[in-house]
Amino acid sequence: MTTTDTYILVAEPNNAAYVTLHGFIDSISLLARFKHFRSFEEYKIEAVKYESHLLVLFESPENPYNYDQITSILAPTSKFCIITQDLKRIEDAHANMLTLLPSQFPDYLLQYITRSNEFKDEKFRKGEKFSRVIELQKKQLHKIQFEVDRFAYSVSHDLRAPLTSVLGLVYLLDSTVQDDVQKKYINLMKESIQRLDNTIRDIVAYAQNSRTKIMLSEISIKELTNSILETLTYLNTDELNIRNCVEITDTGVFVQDRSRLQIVLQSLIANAIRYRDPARNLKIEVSAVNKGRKIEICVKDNGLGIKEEHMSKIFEMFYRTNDQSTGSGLGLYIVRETLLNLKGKIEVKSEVHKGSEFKITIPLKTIKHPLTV
Amino acid sequence: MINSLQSVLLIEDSTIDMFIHTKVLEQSGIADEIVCQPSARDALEYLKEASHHGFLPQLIFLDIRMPDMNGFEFLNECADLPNDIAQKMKVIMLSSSIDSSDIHMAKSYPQVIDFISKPLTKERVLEVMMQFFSS
Repeated sequence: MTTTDTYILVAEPNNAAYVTLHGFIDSISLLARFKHFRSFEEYKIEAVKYESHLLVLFESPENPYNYDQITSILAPTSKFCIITQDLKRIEDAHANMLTLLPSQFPDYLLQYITRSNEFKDEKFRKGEKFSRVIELQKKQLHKIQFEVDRFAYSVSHDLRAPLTSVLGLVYLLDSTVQDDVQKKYINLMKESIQRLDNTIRDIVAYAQNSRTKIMLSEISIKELTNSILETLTYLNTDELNIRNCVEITDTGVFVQDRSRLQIVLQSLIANAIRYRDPARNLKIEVSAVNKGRKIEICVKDNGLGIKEEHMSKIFEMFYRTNDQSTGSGLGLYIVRETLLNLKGKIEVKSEVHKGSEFKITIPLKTIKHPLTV
Repeated sequence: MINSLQSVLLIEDSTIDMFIHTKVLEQSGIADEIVCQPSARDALEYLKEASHHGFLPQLIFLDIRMPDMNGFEFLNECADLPNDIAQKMKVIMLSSSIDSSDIHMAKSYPQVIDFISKPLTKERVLEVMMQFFSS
């Protein structure tokens, strides 16, 4: 046993856990090390030799381990493996983790699990069949999801093109018309079209977020914000030129998924514009602080602010704080979904008639070859 | 003081959008002549012809999404045009696309001086003229 890779299989409640080790650690010293970092009264640990591996069985009836803690006691090249029926675990798996459904686990070991101690034979067998069904359903779900997203994406683009034509014609009409009544109708048309356009933009953003893979590239907040301001020029009015309202603090480049970051920033900036306070000039500050492993991006405005009663609901799908607003109600919902995808988070501070501050924190990436297990 | 241009070229496949852009450009009064080409290929032909007669439109409005050859492909093809047209041309890209990677891509071409989201408006046109064609 002289390779340096170490696999650790971790216990999930009522699932089996095994550690397979290559390398210089022998079973006794490993058991000793594990006993140190958790209170092990509730865990049962056993070891068995499997081919050239040493398997250590961990069985945890309680909550799953904190994986960071586990990796902290292992060698830097260690990886670990979970057998689980929890699909969320599989989705959340990070680079150091391999996940297996029970049906994928080697037969020899499956027998060992079912023969050993408290493990309920029947429960596990049922679990195996269950997991095969789940796998199939998961495949079908992915296919449907993919098709819906593709549909949303191409429909939104195909809807947007004639919509911009209508808007162009409405603007032309506006310039040829003097009559007050006609002007009034034209303004109402503009408002409705704007509402529709906002919803289409949000659907495009939603589709982009859920359907595309994470693609990393170098990004500068300043450049990204300027691109965003270009796509938001439609929000300009006679009194408002959004380029003049936005102040950007540049921190150089960092690596992340550009299109998703754009979705998040664009939504926050559009909201700041939409919910500005008519009593004063709009001011939006976009800043980014690179903290090494993560980046904190703030979008702060001096707008209307958010009332206390709305705060808990603003991230809900289709929730709009007021019916007159031209927003689609999808903006912050999509921000939250997108941040989930990026493994980031968002905090909001707001005061009515003072303004709001949205702070997003996203882990930073480096462009490198992904770890293979 | 905005300098009035002699001739601008508009490359746009949608007849309605072509109508709108032409009207907006007329209302902006930025050029003596507005030439419309309904496709990238037609525009390439036009530019070749024009350069034989020793002239080139001072400004080109170019739609991104067009069937057959799109705006980016057109710009790539321009590299093969005679008389260094590719170096001399000034292009503004137009699109109903809200994809920031389109904007990013557009700005990577040296001939592209700006990107405008449709619909084209008089305000936006005058803004661009002030920025690039005023003395």
